Amino acid sequence: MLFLTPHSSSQTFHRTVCLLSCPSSASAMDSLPDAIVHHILCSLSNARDVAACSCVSRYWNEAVPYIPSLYFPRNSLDGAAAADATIGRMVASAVCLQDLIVYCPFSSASLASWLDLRCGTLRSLELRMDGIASKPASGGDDEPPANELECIGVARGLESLKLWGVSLTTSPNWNCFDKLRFLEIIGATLRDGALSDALHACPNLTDLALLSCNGVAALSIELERLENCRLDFLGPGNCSLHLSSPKLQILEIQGFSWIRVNQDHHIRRLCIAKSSGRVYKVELGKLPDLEFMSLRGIQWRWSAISSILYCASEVRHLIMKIEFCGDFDTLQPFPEIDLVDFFNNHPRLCKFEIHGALFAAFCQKNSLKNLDSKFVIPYLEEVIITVRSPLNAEQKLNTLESVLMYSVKLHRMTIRLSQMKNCNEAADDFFKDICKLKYMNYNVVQIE
Amino acid sequence: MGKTIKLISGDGEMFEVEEAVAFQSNIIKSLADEDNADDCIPLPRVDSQILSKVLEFCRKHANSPSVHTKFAAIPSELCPKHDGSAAGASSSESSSAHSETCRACYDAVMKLVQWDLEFVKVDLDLIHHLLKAANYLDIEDLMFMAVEGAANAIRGNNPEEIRKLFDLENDFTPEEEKEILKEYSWLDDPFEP
Repeated sequence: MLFLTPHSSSQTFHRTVCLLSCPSSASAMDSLPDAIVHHILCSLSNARDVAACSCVSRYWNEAVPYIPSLYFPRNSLDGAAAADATIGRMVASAVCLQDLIVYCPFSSASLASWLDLRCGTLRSLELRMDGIASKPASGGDDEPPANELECIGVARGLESLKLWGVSLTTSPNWNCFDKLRFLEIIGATLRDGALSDALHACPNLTDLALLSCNGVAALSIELERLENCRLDFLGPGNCSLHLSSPKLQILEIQGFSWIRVNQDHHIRRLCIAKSSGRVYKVELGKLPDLEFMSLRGIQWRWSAISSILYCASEVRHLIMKIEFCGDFDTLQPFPEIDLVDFFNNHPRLCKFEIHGALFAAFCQKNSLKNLDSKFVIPYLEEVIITVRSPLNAEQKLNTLESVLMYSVKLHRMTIRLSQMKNCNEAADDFFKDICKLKYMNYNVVQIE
Repeated sequence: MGKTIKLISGDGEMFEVEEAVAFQSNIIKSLADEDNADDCIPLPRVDSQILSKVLEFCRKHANSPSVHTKFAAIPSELCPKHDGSAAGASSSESSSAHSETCRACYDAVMKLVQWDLEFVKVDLDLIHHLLKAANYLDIEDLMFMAVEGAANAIRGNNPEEIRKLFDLENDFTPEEEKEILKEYSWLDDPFEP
């Protein structure tokens, strides 16, 4: 603080063993060793709490500047005359500031000044930018506005960066965030070139999340250390992804039509979804470490589904919810999927969830009577099946019965009957048959 | 019971506890190493009421991973459900592969954190004693939780309420008060009694 003389005794801000002699009968908190008081204060980060502590006493006022984290919630400075100035003063006092989170509105000019001050110590930055007031473009309509993210580039020591509601349509001109491991951008408007430049500045990322973003047509990621990648791109368009990351373990993506992952990876958790539009092609190479896979979407090309199922032979937990296949605009029903082949190709399957049309495609091309009597579904424990229509009722019931019969470890089969279209006699009959199935296998089957 | 340690509180009460419990305290651990195993370890600065609370904490934490250890470092031996069947894991790498995906380990640590948070939901006076005891005995996890308990008492309160809780005086000079009022005009009056 500016107006108090510095505390004369040495200040330590980590836990220390202080065998000070404390008066044995004292119960007042102020007999706590300094180091403990510092430790308590350093646990605070909410700006109001920090400010309140500054006003408590001289000693606390001197200790507050060493608090390493500051968090300004959304409405924390509502009603404050000059929120930017308030944040500025608190950031200026926080001489060892490592973590800064600002959810309340601020201007980009102020942000630049805060970061200039604290770039030496800042390790983690989280900003809500949808309320940001940018400098107006000085050259009229032709000149693009100065990129509001450019000033973040000075914080070279950042390890974690999280941005909400930004516009990344022009290059941020960052140099290099050597130490950046976590990058999360949510609710952003992006452009290919700008995003690519931004990622180039972060070569050592281990965790990347781009969620609820739009504006990208093609994304290419080459990150040596990336382990965890979550991408959620909105819109029905045909977006393509090319990813090359040898340490990749978790990949969760939504919104891509063309997906190519360099086959040197260790993916154990894979989620691919496309909530509007089509998935055309998925190339991942082998998936030897795969434990969990989820495939979702309205329409996937059948070749994409079959190729990924082929590669996912080690999967233990599988969720499939795809409505249609088809190479072009026309929505097509699925070709038949042989039950025996499917379970033989995925022998480690332990939990399985399948919906509607895909479930309906299961059949027994080779009659099970002709089968090698050694067919078994060895590890399957839980199955969730969603049935949407009573069409092909007999085939569906056969599938259910076969799964029950050949699964040696099955302890729960949940059948969800949702919005039965064609609510007529056929639906009623089907429902009755399913109930019969349930009664015959009451300890395993349940209906929702 | 395994090997036990005898501790004597400041007011003369004797506590006999297992080594794993007592050795949560680095101080007790180093004193026990030096001393003759038959002697009791005196703890003059901790009275019996506090020591029994401290030992309650240590008992809970004796065979659990520290809640501040990153999950990757939880060794499989401490997993409540580990049955040694982690598929394909080699012994040196099994700890990290095990605990990152092991739901049982994660749940166990979360439960312990909940227990700890309840443990420090006590009046500030007791927290004060726990802080001093944790400092004196050098018990990392207890210090961490007691600090969190004290910090919780501060959160959401205005300066005057904080002063009352911590038994502190407003020792600013009138000039200093004026400066503070200017700086923190957006807070409710910090000097209102």
